[in-house]
Amino acid sequence: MSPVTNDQLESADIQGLLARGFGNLPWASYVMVHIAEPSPARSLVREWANRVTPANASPLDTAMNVALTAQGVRALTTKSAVDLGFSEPYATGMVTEYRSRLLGDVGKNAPAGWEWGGPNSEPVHLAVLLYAASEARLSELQKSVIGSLATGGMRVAKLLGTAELTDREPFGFHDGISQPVIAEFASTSREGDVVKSGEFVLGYVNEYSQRTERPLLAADSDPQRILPHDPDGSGAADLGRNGSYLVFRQLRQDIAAFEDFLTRSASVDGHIDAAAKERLAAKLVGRWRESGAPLTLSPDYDDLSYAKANRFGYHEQDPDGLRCPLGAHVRRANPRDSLPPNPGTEESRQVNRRHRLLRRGRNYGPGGTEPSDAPRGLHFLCLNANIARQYEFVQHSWVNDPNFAGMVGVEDPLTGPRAGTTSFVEPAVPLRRRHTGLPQFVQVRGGAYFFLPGIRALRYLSSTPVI
Amino acid sequence: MAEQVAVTVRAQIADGRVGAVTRLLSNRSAGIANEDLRLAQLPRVHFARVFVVESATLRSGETIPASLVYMADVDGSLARHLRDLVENAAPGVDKLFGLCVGYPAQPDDARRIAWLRSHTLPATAYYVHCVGRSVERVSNETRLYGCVQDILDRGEIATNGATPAQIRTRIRDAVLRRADFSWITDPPHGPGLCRRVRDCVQLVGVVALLLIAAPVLVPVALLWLVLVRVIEQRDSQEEGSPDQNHVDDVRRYEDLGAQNPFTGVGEIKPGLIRLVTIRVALAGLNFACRHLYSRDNLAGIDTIHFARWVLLDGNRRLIFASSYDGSLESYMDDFISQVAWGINLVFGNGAGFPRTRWLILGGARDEIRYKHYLRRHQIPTRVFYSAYPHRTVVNHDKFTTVHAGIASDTADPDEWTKLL
Repeated sequence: MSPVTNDQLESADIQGLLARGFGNLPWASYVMVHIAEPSPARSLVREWANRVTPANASPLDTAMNVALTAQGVRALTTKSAVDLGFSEPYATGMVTEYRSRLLGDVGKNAPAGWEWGGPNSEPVHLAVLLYAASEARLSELQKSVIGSLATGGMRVAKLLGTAELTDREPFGFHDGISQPVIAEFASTSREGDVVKSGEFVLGYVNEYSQRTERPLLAADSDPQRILPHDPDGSGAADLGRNGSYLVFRQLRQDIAAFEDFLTRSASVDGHIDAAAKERLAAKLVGRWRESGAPLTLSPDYDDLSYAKANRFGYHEQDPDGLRCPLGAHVRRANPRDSLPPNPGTEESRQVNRRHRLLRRGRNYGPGGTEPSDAPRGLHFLCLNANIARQYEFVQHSWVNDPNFAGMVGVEDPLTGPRAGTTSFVEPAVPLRRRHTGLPQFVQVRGGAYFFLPGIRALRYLSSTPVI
Repeated sequence: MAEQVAVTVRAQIADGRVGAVTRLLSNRSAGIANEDLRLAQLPRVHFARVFVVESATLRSGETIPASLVYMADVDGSLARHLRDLVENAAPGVDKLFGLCVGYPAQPDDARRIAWLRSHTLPATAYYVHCVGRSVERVSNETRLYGCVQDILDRGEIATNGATPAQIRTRIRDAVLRRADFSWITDPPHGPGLCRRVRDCVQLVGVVALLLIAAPVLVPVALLWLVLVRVIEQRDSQEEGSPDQNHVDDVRRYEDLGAQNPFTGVGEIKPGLIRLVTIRVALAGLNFACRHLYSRDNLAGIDTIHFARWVLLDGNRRLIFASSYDGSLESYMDDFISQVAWGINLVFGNGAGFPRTRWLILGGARDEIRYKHYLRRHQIPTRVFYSAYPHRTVVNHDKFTTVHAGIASDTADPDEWTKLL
């Protein structure tokens, strides 16, 4: 155990996605790459290591980041991610029988039906994340990356395009309002959300005041001294430092089903009550669709003065969910101060801070909520240093737990896999309103756990393996 | 009202049969609980599990042969449960324990019961989330909650413009119109009078003794702490992550329902100081479970249905077994965040546990080392039975409060209607 103070982030060695979502580069695509021949692949990845956008740069034109699956690590280094000391969820991957159960990847979400990342598609080894200021620039960048793959003994396993960046997800809600902030990367003072860098960047001190598990290699595994050293002074070469785990999930959203459910629920004798419809939408999510105002602060109507407001807790004003239902999506994904121990106190917030995710997702498919045959959804990307305690915990113990916060058999109304009976409860006085028979609105179409290495680590992984 | 007791039967597996037993448990995981032991037919069993403790060589060099363990959390008494089990599922009992040393060659019920009885182990400490809440009551109260939901969803009663008190009265009337709900007017009972008197006498007695002995005990305890601190310096802790095959094996039996079994075994550190420390810690824990944590939490943790600590092999090893809600990850985080000191006090005496300081500091707070330690010492719970696999203890507490509020008008109706 090493209760030490945090050292300065080495932002020149950290990939840019940890510092920013490249909001000023509204065009993006993700190239999922399969490695056929390791040796040329190493040369190309080494070249990429010189081109990836670091956290200390603020690109105005294009950006590129590179991440690897555990299979990718094996393809490049010939060593298994387990043996190298990567954490277990990453090393064994998103698609195992156990993990599918844990993540709710069952039924329609089962990996067997995935477009990529599942057992019935070509193994993904690398993700090349591309961002650009214009569609034309993205297209050029993408063409040059894909064009170079053949010389690197690699090919495209799946190309994932995105829609032009907006601040709304496909159901029409504002997305990404509540984000944890790494103190060192904060541009504004939003103290409430500040989380220690070690929760997202490997090799730094986390909310347990420790540096979490990461691949530490014997010094002689790195004869060229490419890697940083273990800051705890063990003498080990720190393959994890300045890296992070990137959770990637392709989530298809059934916009028609969602609108239809809202309309049906808000209709009386064929007459649609538009206000009731928006109200129900807000209850399912926890924020008003139009402005992003939280129900906790603006319970009765969409008060624009609270648009995207984020400084609030649940416990003091709304312990029973009369404003924001206990089962609303945002209350599950980030319960703030509402869970034991001692809801409403710093103790509760402290526990919450150990389960935060840095979200970096983008939409895909046509914009708007008009009917369309083209698939629409979210490429959900999030970064965390401990997949088991952060992403998997949030997904299993909060978002997907039918008994979350003492409720009885209530799934996440937005993203739930509808494995059991599906109901949604709006607490109210004197009696709750219960909705049953919610259809599945979100379906998992692909996914993988990636390692977003530090730039020196990327160089190391693509150097000739030390046997 | 029935008390809950921990049943533990442990028997050495016959030579050369360990593989067969393990295969039987893994291939017939659910079959053993449902078809062989027919546990669902025993109305007094909350949870049960069957697992193999692999043979182990202790530090002393002594080899402890592999054993088969059956555990159950039941209403009533040990004797009653063994009789129920044997009378209801003799062939299953024979099938399972017939692979153990000394099992009667020509068993009849009396021999089976006597054999099981002679292989029981006492729980050194036992935690029950809600003492006195029987399987029957859990099942009734769950049914009541479902019934109330049904009444509301069907719009069976008028609620428009009604006050919470009126709503409650109408719900009560509507429930009583249905069959098999006459018991709802009888409020949920805690532990019986007998137990309460015994608890009271014990509490007063122990506190009085402690007070009288305080002038001696306090200096002794302080001195003890210093001794422990000295030997803590020599402690070694296990490093690295647990073997992946082991993790996969253990997890085959996890996250299948709302609850999970945890079963773990570890050797106690050598020496008298550690032995005395763990005995005192477990006695204190058992005392606290009985007097402090008998209603709705264990030191603030509200996700554990039952937990037991069983010393075995001449107090050289400890088995810990619990039935808890949610995933192991959330269970471990709860412990680290809320009761690391308590975990250290007991498990800090286990060989290889993350290093503690002054008995309660450090230890489990070393997040990753602690999580790896637990996984490494975990035993695959190949057979796990729950009488109510989809509900959490917090759910059951809610159902009990709903029952209590319907049985008596003293509970605040505003708060009561919020539970629905």
